Amino acid sequence: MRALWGALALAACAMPVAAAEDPAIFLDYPLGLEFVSGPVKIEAGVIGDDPVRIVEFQVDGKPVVRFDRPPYRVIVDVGWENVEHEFTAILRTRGGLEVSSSVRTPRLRMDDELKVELMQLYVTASEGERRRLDLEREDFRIVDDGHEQKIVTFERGEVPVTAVLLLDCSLSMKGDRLEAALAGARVFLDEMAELDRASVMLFSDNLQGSTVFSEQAADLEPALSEVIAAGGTSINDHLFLTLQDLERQQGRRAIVLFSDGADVHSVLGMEHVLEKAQRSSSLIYWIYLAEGAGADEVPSYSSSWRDVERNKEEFKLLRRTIRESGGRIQVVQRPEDLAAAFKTIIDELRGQYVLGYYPSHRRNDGGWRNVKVRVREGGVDLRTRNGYTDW
Amino acid sequence: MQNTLHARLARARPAARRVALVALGGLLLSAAGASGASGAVLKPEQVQKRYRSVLAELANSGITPALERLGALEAEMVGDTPSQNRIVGFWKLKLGVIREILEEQPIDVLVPIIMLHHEAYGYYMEKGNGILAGHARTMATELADVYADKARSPQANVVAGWVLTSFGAQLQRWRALKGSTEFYHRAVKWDPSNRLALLNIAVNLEKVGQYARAIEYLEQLLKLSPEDPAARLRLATCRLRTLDSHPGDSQEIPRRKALDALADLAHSDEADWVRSVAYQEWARDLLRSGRTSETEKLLREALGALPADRQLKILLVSLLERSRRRSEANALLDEIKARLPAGVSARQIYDTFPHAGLEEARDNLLAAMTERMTLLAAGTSDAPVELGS
Repeated sequence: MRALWGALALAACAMPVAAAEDPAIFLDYPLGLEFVSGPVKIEAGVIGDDPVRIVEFQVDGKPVVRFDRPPYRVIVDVGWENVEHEFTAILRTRGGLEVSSSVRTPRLRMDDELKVELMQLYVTASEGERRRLDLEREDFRIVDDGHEQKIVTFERGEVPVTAVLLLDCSLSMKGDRLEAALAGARVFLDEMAELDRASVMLFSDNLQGSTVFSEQAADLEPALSEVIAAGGTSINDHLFLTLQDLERQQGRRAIVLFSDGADVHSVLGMEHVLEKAQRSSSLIYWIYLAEGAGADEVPSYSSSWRDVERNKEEFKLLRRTIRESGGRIQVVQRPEDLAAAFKTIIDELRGQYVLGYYPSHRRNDGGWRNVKVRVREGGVDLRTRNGYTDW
Repeated sequence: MQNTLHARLARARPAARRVALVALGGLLLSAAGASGASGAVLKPEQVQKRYRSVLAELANSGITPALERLGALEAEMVGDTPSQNRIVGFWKLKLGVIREILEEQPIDVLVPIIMLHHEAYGYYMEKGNGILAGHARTMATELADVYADKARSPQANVVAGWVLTSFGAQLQRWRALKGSTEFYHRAVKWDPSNRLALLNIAVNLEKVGQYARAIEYLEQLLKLSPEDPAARLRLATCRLRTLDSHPGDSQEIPRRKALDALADLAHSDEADWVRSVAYQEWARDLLRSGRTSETEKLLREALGALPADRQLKILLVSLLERSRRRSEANALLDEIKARLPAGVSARQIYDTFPHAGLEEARDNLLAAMTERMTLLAAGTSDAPVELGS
């Protein structure tokens, strides 16, 4: 990187004097020559006399990070699709000038497709009620399918997150429940940090509302106004769609589902959602409004599509899906506690570790791989996904 | 039948009945007075006189003023803290009046009285008085049984069947499936051609996972209406679910029948939701068999016919995603997210209790009731026009 940056800087210096005074920004990485996927390092250098006010990186036209001082460097997950990507670095100076530089990486020719995917684990560490954010890379061990893995990326704390607030607005949520959930969702959006992004999806038996992904709470909050509770409930269908939608997003991904958990109208079974979640890396949090029911109680309800026993199986599978994703279920007994539940989840997302490794024994055979993460220190509880589908 | 109103009416003899009614009424009212409840202390004769005037009001002025008068009387009788004892006593007093009317009028005179108590159910529910609503329901349904049993006419069977079906539907709305099914069974007993009751028995059985029993009622219904799309669709889906729990080669014929019915409905010009569910269940069955390319072909055909259907699209997204065709899956996902909000899904409509025609039948019966009003007018001609409470 230094060599490249130096060459570019020299080239810039070799220009006429007036050009050397002008601000300029150069993308060091990626080079724009090769296909990229998964986590990609983006790095830029800046020259010019006008002091830097902000440097912004965009991927495919969407802002991903802003800096007000060097180093201008970040790792961004661009997803695993075999597509072109455009990386742009924008420099805004204190003098009010704006310059940019872009590179476009090509898609991979299909006969060249390779599987060298970085696996990322989002880990929540706690000791009793206290969250632990002081662990180092060396403190962690990852065992994938029985094989010890080398941790190649390590981040903790304020790692940006892309979240979908998936809100059940079916008839069973009518009144205080929906109002409290919408208020809770607003709390979540207001607590988003600068690089966080979110979207809102409202569902009943059909999708009732959806926003684009945005960093600005103000862009999303209108979707939470004038929502009417009506219709049936299709959790499976919409959780599946959200997992699919999030795969197109970059970075750490999370779903915050709010529902009473009573799916009655989905065309997809929860087993499909579980399989999808096992292939994806999104965390799923479920704010479970269980008024009057115990946290471990499996509610009884039936529909024309499933009887009580089948619905109980679906409910248990939903809980398993949440657990296996590395997320958790936040049980809420009273609507007035919903805002605190949303706040707890965004706080938790603020304080996670992101461990990256290249699985040493990938077979891409569609089989299940158990993953265990351990920490040296005793008494520290870790929560993360417990495996993935290797395909 | 031993404990029904019919049995009580049949057993009661005029002379003994009067003595029994006075005694029961006296017991009822003295119990009310002794408990210090706020129910008015009315003598049994006064209660019967006022009930007779309610029926006279019904005959002369129609159902709405009669309901108001009945409501005032019953509220006064049972007081602010209604007890089962008081209601039973009141019930018996009312039966005494009805029996007296029946001694002089043909059995058809019961129709307006049944309708009055049927309408009283809704009137009390609206006022949040569940106890009197339940009482109104018992009056209406037991009188309906008496009417059909005594009249022995097809018209009487239809009236009784409809009243019982109406209450079956009311209980369904409250998710009281067991009670609802009992009313539907009573309806079918009087009127075996009551399609709505047959369909809803099947729906209730389907909701509790008794698919084999639901199939019996659907087959019965389809003998009456071979082309009924809702019944054909439910029969096919119930058959497939029965097979789910009993896999094996012997199931090939019922499976074939179910799939043929689904294919037929999918390609029909029935309502969109019927075609959508038919396509969905057909596709799900193909998917379970692992026939991915056939499923995709079918879903694309379905979306050609029903391009706005989101659940068909979700099935296709799922299939494409599992086939690792992410770009195509995502393009379809974008279509699903476009043009919101979406309406009611086909699966939600399927899951809604099918009550179509019930309101229309009620209107017809209320109109038909007018024809019997003259009988009631004659039967209550000695009732006082005005009664203070």
